[in-house]
Amino acid sequence: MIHAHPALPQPTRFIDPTVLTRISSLELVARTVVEGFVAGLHRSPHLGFSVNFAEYRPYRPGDDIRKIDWKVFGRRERFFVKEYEGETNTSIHLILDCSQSMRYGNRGIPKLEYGQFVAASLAYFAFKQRDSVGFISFDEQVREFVPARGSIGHLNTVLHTIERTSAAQKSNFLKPLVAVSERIRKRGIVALISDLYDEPQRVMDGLRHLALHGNDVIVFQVLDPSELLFDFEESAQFIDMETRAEMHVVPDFLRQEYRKIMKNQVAFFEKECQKDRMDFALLDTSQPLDHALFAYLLRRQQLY
Amino acid sequence: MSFLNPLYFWGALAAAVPVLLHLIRRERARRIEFPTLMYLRKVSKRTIRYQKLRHLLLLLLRVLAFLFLALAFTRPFREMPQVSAAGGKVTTAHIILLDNSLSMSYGDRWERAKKAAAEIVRRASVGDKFALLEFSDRVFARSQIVTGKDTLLGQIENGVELTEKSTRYSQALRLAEKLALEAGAEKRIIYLISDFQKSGLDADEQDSRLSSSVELKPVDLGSDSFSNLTFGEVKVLDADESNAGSFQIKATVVNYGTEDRKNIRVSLSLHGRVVAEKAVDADRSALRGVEFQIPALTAGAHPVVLEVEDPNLTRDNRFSMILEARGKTPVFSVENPEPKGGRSPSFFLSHALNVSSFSPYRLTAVALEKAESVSTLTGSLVIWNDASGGGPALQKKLQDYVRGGGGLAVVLGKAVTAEDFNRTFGSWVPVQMEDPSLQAKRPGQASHDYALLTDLRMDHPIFKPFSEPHSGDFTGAKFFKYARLKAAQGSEVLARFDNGLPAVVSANIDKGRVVVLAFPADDSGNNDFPVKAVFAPLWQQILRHLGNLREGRRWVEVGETIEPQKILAESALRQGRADFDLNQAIVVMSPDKRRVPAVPGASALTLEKIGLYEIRSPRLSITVAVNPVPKESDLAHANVEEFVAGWLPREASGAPQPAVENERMSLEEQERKQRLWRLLLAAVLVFLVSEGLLGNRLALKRE
Repeated sequence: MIHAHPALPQPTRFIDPTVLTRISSLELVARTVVEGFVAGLHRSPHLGFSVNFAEYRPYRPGDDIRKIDWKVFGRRERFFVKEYEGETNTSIHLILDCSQSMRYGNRGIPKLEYGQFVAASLAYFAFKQRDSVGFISFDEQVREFVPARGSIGHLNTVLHTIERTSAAQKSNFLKPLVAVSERIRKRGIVALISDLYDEPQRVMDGLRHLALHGNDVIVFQVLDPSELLFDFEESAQFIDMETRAEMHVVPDFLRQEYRKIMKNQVAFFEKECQKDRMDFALLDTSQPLDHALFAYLLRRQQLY
Repeated sequence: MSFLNPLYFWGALAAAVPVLLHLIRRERARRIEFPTLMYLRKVSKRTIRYQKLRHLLLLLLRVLAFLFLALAFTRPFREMPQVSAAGGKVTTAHIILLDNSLSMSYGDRWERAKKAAAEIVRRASVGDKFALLEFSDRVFARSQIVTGKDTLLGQIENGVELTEKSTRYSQALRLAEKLALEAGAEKRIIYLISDFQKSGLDADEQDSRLSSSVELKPVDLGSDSFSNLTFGEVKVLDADESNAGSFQIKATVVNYGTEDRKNIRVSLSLHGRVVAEKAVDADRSALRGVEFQIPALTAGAHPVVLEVEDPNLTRDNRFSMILEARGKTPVFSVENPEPKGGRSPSFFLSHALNVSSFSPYRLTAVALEKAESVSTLTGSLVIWNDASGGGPALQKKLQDYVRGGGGLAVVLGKAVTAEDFNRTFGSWVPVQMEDPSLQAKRPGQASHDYALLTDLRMDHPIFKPFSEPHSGDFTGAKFFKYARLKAAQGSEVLARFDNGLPAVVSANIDKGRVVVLAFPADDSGNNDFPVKAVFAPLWQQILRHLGNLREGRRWVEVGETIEPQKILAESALRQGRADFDLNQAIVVMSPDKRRVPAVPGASALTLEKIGLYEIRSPRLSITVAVNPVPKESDLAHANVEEFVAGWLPREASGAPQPAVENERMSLEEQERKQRLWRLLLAAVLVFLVSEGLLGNRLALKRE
């Protein structure tokens, strides 16, 4: 369990999420994040990779010359690089909430975008670890489902799918998560990236479904700082992004109690997750993405 | 409650600013998309209500601060608490000053004055306060502050009365001001109903000012054209000795009017009967002398009245006086027998005392050995003129005489030795004579051998007439021989020689008086004092002092205070009636033959009326003539505006119309009434501080 708290490595080592938004390619974002993150780690003995031959491909400038198969050169007088199919240690399914509420971003980037960064980074990172990666997006129902695979080309599929994700509907946790849990055949890690804005009990029921199928569940609750602090100055007409319901709010009147309620809510999820052996991490959209990666890494360590 | 600057009420609109801001901000409330209202809806309504209440309180404080600030700028002030019953009108204190001096009896002035006073009362509002003061040279409050109009109207109609005294404004105005300020009304007006005689203005009044909260309204009854005749200066001269008991009266008739008067009858009456009559012409503002001779009168007091015929202001037409005809006072000069070929010791004295008809004394020389045979000394004076000591019988006679009220002058010349003097007088007169007498060896020797008179007690009745400059020079007299005296306790040294020895010593012995002179009354021993100009006057003064003689005043002015007992006693003394008892009961009758009520415990009596007062005791009766104050007859009219301006408070004296209605309040009063603005500003301060604290607290919570 990891929190976005100041005890973690200082963000100077990592790139601010708002800076990442300037990078158009999600793959590049993921690579930047992950490589920055990895550079700070010791070489891990757990970084296994496969030896199963996958295919040959012509040498391209820039390829590591150590990877050139000299035997084939002897036969064919051409440079071929030997590609191996990774032997997957585990699989990770990234489940991204793409309901309307995820569009919110008052300070920094929208939660959805942050979630996309997190998902992409995790996907890239997992791929680096030779894990197979799958991606699911949902709101009221499952919108996208990319099953987990370990091939090189699959990462691009996953990243494209993540990039394509947009928010349109209300969220409903139970139904899509039940559906997802049924569709994941291989047990592995399931990472849910969401603001968890549904009836708490319903959210927990959905998560339990995932866990009951033998998955190791990591819950990333992505929240904007404004949602946590409610630091609005002036009174305003607040509109619910999903239901379009309206409410006149004088922030001064509610702030204290709202903060308390939010704190209790987060504590509730944390406690419930702990109870069901799930990991819970609160992600603040103003925090660098590496927290999510740490969470993933720690979870993976526990598995092997 | 009223407001000095009601226009500032517009400022209260500023109180709408916080409300408007609140509404505008509410109207312009932004629409904010928020992920979910789920948790916002969970916030308890109670918290919101509590917060709302605090913000409403903040709004209220801001609104109140603006409102109170605007209110403070309007300068609210309290009305006076004494609001009359008549619909909240301003209460006014009307202080009516009614001039009842002699001049007010001219023409119909008095009637007009009463009408004016009644009119003031009638025109006043219900609930107003009144006070009626009558004044001449004294002020009399007919009533204290009253509210009933009828009471006051009754007093004006029947209570007030004219006096014959003179006018004095200052003290009347002062008392009126005091009453006005104590009346407890918001507005105070002093009505001065008078003929505004110039003569009533004293010099000291010019600097007087009334309080700024008191308004002075003059009601002028005087006029610039008038006519009045009266007596100015009146002199009475005793006729000479050959015509003892007769008098000459010189009077001036004054025309105070604005027109010439011809052929005016002036009469003189004695004991109520006209004995002489003259006709004179009096031009305006001119004096005309008139003389009357009064034939020999019998000894005693005779009332004489001069009267000028004048239909206007009749009360000052008569001038009365008491003429006292009496014989000369006998003075016995006790002396040693006249030496052959020499001059009598009383040679100079007889010339000084028997000088003319003006001297009230008749000196008779008595030889020492015959002195005992003088039947009675009562009513006479004795000069022990350088006589050597007499026998015990004479000593006792002299002592009894002096103790009974007699007067004795002891003159010490060459014949009296210290032994003689001390034997004769030493036992009862507190003066001792010491041997030897000082004697210069020969005249013409060293200049310091003679003595001069110095250190005169000019405040003593004997020397008082000489106190004025050029009224007598004692320094020219040289004394070559004089007695060495020693003044004991109980005596008074009136003059000394330049060597410090007493020259004139006076002592009171029981009822009588003794004066001892250390030098002779003649030129013996080469003293040249008898030939100096001051010799005769000094002796006249000494005898006057010894005889305790006080000239009876022939008349007094109205308003003066006399002591009837004392006047009776003096008169008794002059008539030689030593048996008069000072403590006996007396009755005073006024000129209109009414008994003047005696004030218990007071010996003095103020003479209120013009005419002849009678003071009666069982054995003696005297008459006192009372005449009007001359200046009161001068009806010259003062400039009323100047007069009123003179009484206005300094800051208002420049105002062109003194009578302009203007409620003047003292600065303190004004400030007291308006001090509400301070409280309002204090409240604003409290509101702002509270707002600051509350706002700050809310802001801190927001952090």
